[in-house]
Order: sequence, then C-alpha cells, then structure tokens
Amino acid sequence: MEQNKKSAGQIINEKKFLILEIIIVALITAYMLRGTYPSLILCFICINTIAVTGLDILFGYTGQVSFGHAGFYAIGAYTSSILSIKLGIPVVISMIIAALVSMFFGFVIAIPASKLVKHFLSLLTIAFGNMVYIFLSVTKDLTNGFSGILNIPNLNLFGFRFKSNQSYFFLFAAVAILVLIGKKRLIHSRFGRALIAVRENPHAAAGMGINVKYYKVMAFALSALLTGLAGAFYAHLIGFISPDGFNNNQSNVFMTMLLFGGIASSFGPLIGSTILTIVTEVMQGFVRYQMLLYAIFILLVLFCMPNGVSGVIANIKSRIAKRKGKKVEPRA
Amino acid sequence: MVIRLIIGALMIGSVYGVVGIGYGLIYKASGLMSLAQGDMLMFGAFLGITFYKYLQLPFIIALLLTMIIMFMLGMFIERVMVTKLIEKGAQTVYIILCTISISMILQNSSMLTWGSNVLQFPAIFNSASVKIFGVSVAPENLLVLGVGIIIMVALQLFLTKTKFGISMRAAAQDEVAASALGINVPLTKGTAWGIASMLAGAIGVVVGPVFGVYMSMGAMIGQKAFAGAVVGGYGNMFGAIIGGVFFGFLETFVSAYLTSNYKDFITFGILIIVMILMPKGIFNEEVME
Amino acid sequence: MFKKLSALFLVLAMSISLVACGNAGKEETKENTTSENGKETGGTEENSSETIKVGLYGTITGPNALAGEMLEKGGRLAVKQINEAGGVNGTPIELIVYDDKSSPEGALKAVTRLIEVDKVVAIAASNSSPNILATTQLSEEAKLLQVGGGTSPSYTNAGFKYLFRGTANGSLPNSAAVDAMKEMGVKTIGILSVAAENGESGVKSFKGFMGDDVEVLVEETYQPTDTDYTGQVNKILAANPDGVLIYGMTNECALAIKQFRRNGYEGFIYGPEAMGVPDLVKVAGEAADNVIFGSAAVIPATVEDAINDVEKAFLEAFIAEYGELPVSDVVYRGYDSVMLIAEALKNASDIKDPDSIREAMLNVKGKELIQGIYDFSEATGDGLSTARNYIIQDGKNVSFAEWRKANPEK
Repeated sequence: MEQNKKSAGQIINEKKFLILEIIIVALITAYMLRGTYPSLILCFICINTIAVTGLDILFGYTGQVSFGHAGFYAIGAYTSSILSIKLGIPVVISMIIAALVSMFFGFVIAIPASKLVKHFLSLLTIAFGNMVYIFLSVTKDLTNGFSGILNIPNLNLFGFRFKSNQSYFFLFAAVAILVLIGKKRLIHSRFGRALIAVRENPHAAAGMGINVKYYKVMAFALSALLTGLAGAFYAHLIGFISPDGFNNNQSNVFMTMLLFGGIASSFGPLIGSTILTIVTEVMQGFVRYQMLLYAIFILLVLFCMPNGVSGVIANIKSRIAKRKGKKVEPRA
Repeated sequence: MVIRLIIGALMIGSVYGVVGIGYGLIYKASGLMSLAQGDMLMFGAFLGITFYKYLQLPFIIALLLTMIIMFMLGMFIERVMVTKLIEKGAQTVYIILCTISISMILQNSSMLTWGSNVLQFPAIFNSASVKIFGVSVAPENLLVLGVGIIIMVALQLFLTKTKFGISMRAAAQDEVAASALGINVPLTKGTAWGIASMLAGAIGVVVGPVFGVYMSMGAMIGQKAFAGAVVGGYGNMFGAIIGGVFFGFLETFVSAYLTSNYKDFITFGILIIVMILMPKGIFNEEVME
Repeated sequence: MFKKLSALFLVLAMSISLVACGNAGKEETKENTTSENGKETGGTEENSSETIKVGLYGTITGPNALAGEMLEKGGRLAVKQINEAGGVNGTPIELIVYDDKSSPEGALKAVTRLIEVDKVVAIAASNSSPNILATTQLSEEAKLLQVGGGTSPSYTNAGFKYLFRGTANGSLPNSAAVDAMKEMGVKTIGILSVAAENGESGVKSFKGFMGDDVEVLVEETYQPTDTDYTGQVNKILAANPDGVLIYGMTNECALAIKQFRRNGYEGFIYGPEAMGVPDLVKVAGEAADNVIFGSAAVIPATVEDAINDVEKAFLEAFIAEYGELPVSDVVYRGYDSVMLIAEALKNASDIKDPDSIREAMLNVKGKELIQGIYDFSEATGDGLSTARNYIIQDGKNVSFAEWRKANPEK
C-alpha cells in the first residue's frame, strides 16, 4: 500500500541515496579489511546484526520482549561446536543443525510464552536465559563446564577453508545482508503484517481471524533460529567458548543494540550493532572509564534520538518527502 | 537447621520483597519497567557506608540520609530522564535502554568513586549474636528482616491512610480521571519512582553489614526481586512481598535439601511452572495492555 | 533537525575514523598509558618509535575489576622500574593496557588488537584463565609470547609453545593447603565452591591432592552473583565434616566464611590463595581466624613483614606510587609477568624473532621475583614449583608451619 503511494521520482531519489550509502560503506569496509583486527570487528558487527535482527523480529515486530536471547545464542554456539568436535560433522551442517536446534528451543519456550505478556514474559525469558547458562556450566561431560570448549574447527566450504577473519567476514556479511533483506520481505508479506497486527492489538488481530498464538510462536522460533545461527558463527570464529560469554550481560548487549539502533526498522539492528560494537572498541583507550563513558554515550544519543538512531533517519526521510510533497501540491 | 534456614530465607526473601515492591510501584504508576532497581540497592549501600563509616554518623541518621538521597535520585530519574524522553516522543520500550544505561552508570561511577574492592560495613550492634529458638543469629540479619517489615507496614499506611498516598493510588488507577480531580499526576509518578529507589536504597544499607558492599551486589538481587514480584502478582504490594519471600524460601531450601549446582535452574524452572499454572501471579493481578 | 543530523554524523564519523584506521585508536591508548606514568617515562613520548611495546589485558571493568586493576598496577610498576633501570638493553618498554570485559570475546578482541594494531612483542595475559584460553589459538599462530596471570592449571602443560605463567599454578597452593589439611588430621570435608572456572578447576585439583585420605562428604556450589549461601552452608554443616573447604574469589570467600561462622561453625576452613588477600580479613573480621590456605605469596600486613627483598622493594615502590599497600596478590602476578617478559626480551638474541624470545624465556632459570624463583626450563609453561601455606590468626597471615610448631595440640 505504502509503496503505491510513492511517486516515481521519490523512488529514484531513494535509490540514489541507497547507492551512495552502499558505496560509502563498501569503501570503509574495504579499508578495514586490510587488517585482521578491523576485520574481526567487522565479523562481530555481522554476527551481532544477525542476532539482533532475530531479537527485532520478536520484540520489535511482534512486541514480545525477551531478556534471555543469550540463551539461544549459547544453544547455537554449543550445539555447533559439540556436533563438529564430538561427532565430526562438517561445520556447515553443524551450523545449520545448531540453528535448527535453537529454533526448536524457540518453539518450546514459545508455547508458554505466547500466553504471557509484558513482565510475565520478561520473567520467563530471564528464567530461560539463566537456565541455559546454568545448564551449560553444570553438564560438564557435554560442555566441559567452565573450562569451556577449545579448538573448535574452522568452517570448510566446498574445499575452501575459512581461516582468516577476512574470509569469515565475507560469509557473515553475505548472511547478514540476506537476513536483512529477508526480514524486510517478510515484514512486507502477509506474515509480517500479521505479526504487526498482533503487536498493535492482539484482541483486534484475533477478531480479524489472525491466529495470534500461531504467529507469536512462529516469531519466537524464527527469532531463535537467527540468534542461534549467530551463536554458531561466533563459536567457529573465536574457536573457544565458555559459559562466561553467554550470561545475562550478553542478553542486555543485544537488547541495547536493538533499542539503540531502533526497533521495528529495516536497518535498526545493523546500525545499532555497528555503532555500539565500534564504540566499545574505541572506548578501550579509556581503560577503567570505558564502561561509564559507554553508558553516558548511549544516554546522550538516546536523548538526541529518543526512538533509536533509525528513528531519526526515518524522521529525516519523511520530512524530506513532506517537503517535496509540498512543492508538488501547492495547497492541500 | 530448619530454623536457621527459615530465618535465612526470610531475610533474603524480605530483601527481594522490598526491592520487588519498587518494581510494582513503578509499574503501577507509569506502566514502565526499570532495570536499575538492583543497582539502586547497591548505590544505597555505598551511600550508607559513606555516611556510617567514613562520616561517623549514627546508623539511623545514615539510613535516613541515604533514603532521602535515594528518593531524590529516583525522582530525578523519572522527572528529568524518563518523562523528558517520553515528551520527546520516545516509545515506552526505549525506557528500557534508558534504565540499562543508568544501571551501567551507577555501577561504574560507584566503582570509580569507592573502588572495586568489597567494602566492609562495620557492625551496627555490639553483640555478635542473638538467640532465637535456641539458634544463634547475627542481629544484622534480624535488622534486615525488621527494616523490611517496617518498610512494608509504613508503605501500606502511607498508601491507604495519607491523602497523598490515596491520590497516588488514584492516579495509578486512572490518570485522566485523577488529573481531572486536581491530582498532580506527574508528581505522583515521580514520587512512585522516588519511593521505589528509596526502598531499594534503604534495604541496601541494612544488607551492607551482612553481605559487604561492592559494585555488583545488586545485579542478581534485582533480577530475583523482579522474579518474585512477578510471580507474586506484579503491581500488588502484598504479591511482591509474598513472591519475594517465596523465592527466598525456594532458593534456600533447594540448595539445602536438593542440590546447589542446579539451584537457580530448579528455582527458575519452578517459577516457569507457577507462571504456566497461574499466568496472572499468585495475587491474580490484572495486566495493563 | 540540524542538531540531530549533525549529532548522527558526528557519531558515525567519530566511530569510523577512530577504528577504521587503527592508528588513531593506538594514539589514544598511548596517550592514556603515558599520562598515568608520564612523569617517569616522559622520555618515551618523543621517540616512541624506539620503545618496545608490551601488551597487558585483564578484567579491568566488571565484577572482577579489582583483580584486573591490580594486574594493571603491578604491570605498570614493573615497567616503570625497568625503564628507570635503563629499559631492555637501553630501550624503554611501553605498556599497552586493554580490558577483556571478563569474556572470551573481549579477550580475543583485545589480543587481536594488541598483535595487529599495536604490534606488541609480548603480552602479560589476563588474570582470568578462560580468557587466556580463548586467545591461545591466536597467539600460537602469531608466535607471540603470553605470560598469564590466571592460576587455573588448564592452560599450562597443555602443549602451548608460546604460553607461560607468571604466577604459581593453582595446584601448588592447593597442594600446600591439602598438606596442612592432612597435618591437621582432617578425614572428612565439606566443599563450597563458586560455579565458575576457578571454582571448578580448583576443586578438581584439591580433590586430586586429597586422594583417598580425605573423604568429601558434601559438595555444594554458589553462583558468582549470589549473596546468600544459607542453604548450602547449612547442608554442609548438617553433614558435620572435620573441615570445610571454600573455593572462590576473595569477596565470595569472605562472605562464605562469615556465613559459616554465623551459622555456628567454629572449626578450620581451608581455601585457595585468594584467601590471602588482605580484604578477606577486612571483610570477614574475626570470622577469618583459623582459615588455612596456600599461596605463592601474600600481601603482608606491613612492608616490614615482606618475605623477601624483591617483595619489600616492590611494596615500597607501590606505596610511593599509589599511596597504600596493594589490596590483592594479583598485583604480584602483573609485576612478575612483566618482569619475566623483560627478562626474556633482554636475553633474546633478536627481539623481532618470536622464537628467540621464547628460547630466552625457556632459559629463565633461578630468577627470583616476588612469588618465588622462576625456572621455565621444563617447557611446561610453569615457572614456579613451590608454594607456602598460611593460617590466619588474629587477622594476620601467619606461616602455617610456625603456627603449628607453637600449637601442636590443635
């Protein structure tokens, strides 16, 4: 519907804008790829983007809050590592299985979760995150407890062995872009509109014949799938995992990135994870003051852009559109 | 052993309960969720130790001063940050981000001000232990319990007997109607946040001597208090207390009679089951949508 | 509108410019490094191209910030002393410090940055052992010397070529504590440990030394974020063991000791070297009496109580620099690690050749530092082979052997 309203000129204009953006980003990325360290940061940006997109589908579009996404992240990471090490399954397949296992847990959690709203749901997801964390730390035979899993094999795809951060980046970036495009298409499909309807008013949605429970469960599963996949990427990139990386803190990191970038927007997760991942690294120079400065930075940005960074971009775009609209139509 | 366990569970339970009331108050008054409650407890403990140990003030004055400062801090967060954000057109979910950063700021500024080591809160009472039912108990533990109960009773009286308390409840029920009746709704909201952080700060001061004071002391307490409050019936004062004590008992008894390795796993598992069976909490609280 | 737009672009420009060209980030760090000990190493600033860069990473923020801070201070003090004495063969050392955020991910990022952006020749590694493990793949590939400050047995004797330990392997103090336990005639024990890497590996090593001589009656854990252990404590006391073993970080140990005492336990408590940190006595007070632990070195109550000259000199320098005694023995790990690195660099035939640095490290023999005499010639990664045991009496760490001589009846 919205797209029909746009004039041809606007679409061209938007495309120009987009192409310019892509060129700038590509140039910076190419520059960063010269080094291992900036490439590592780029890899993390992609991984976080995928995970945060997962959270966005659940929280941004369906309105179901989750403070336990580190749980899915952990499930993805551990499943893929264990499968590839103990059973010797090729890494590509283990990653896919890991994402599916995470999706399965998404289903399981979604069944009670779809009945709950707001703080009940917050609590359920907090409980889930904590339970996964504790499970990882006590099942020593499976997860090697707090000592963690070392020497997780690298990805091997069609004879090409991913070893450098650069090579991983291309894969992760491709997946992240696919995920972003996929999300956009999904949201503009019947499925996506149903999700938004569920978020806006579940009773009205049910009245319109939308199976609210079905959509809530599907959103959960899809979200878990993406976050689990990101977890699997993380494990094979780093080569070492231990429960330390999957506590509440990680869930809060995802939540911060999502809200910072802006919920329910096409590029919110990308913007949020990019800026915050980079800012975290920049702050390293401030040693002991870094976390304080990081928090103040978030707060300041929040005050300048109360609906996340992408909220401002949407605002600018709509204002430009409005101004143009005024020129075309003298008086409405 | 059982008596000791019960006293221990009651103590930690009342801590959860008092912090949990704060979540409920904030939610009732503004429909929002603050993730900084646990860190309010930590900050209160640091303030308390500063007044009591370093400025050598009597304990009760240190406690009251802390409560006043914490009240103002809570009020400040609501009036200056939360309301401004909402006035600027932020969706309510962005308040989560705001409180996440506030909690990080509180933690890290405490670390930079008071250092990262555990500060020892000097003993408040002269005697090392008191006998109850033939079991020796540290008086500080009883103080936590006592302060918890006093806070609950005082808050209940405040909300039901004073004019301002009644107007706060009215504002929580129906904002528009309340403001039509001349109730200063923004003030009641600010007061609710203020009271929430004041309660957390006060209980922080009294647990200081029991746990020691350090920057991450509030993180888990905040989360468990939230869990207790939700299970009890979010927004209901008694629910928060019952829920908190329930959680305290669950935690203590699971680790004493079952296994502590799986303690949080079992506790949270039971909470999930309780929520599935009673999706509205023990006190059947209606949810605002 | 403009404000918002410009703010957005400022943010983007700042973040991208600072990280995209790693040099900018590096500059900033250097500023930070030199500003803290700018007075002393003032000379390094002008000819920064002629410094030898050494990295250090640890848990500088977060729940274990205390240990990280101490690691950093120890490392900085070592650098200062080395540079005052003329540096490494005339070239001053520059220390670059990063936070590993207590997570494997943070450690990996920090080490990648140290290797690539800062191009350090060696690293004093974290006080958290899992964080060191997360970076081993990287440092082994880059052939970069890491000297760790974590005590977990897991990362030495594990086949890593370039990874060493700048402190005692956790199993040494543990073995010393078990010796004391056997000496005290303990036959049964109850264990309370933290559900974290240090607790898990620590209890494992304790059990290994206890063997069949000491029976474990009950074994409980707590989460690092927990504050109340009533349930666990009572379960352990109900089993009525001869002794109690607590394994965790210092603040947790202090809390646990207090809770054991409060619940009526009056016997001896055994524990890890974290028990030797002065904070324990400060927090636990009288409750800390009759706590027995092993340690490579403890922070003494006064400078005069130092066990050797190196420690005494260090403590005096520390007080001169920071105005008080260090609060944790992790400070020794940072100091020893950096000193060992400097020693290796001094003797390396070519500091640009990682293998010659490693060779020099393996040749470190009989080097006396604070925590003992280091000898890496066995190529296991461990340099120390002994630890001492202590008992807390009247709020002071007393040598266990001497105390035992005076009180043979207990």
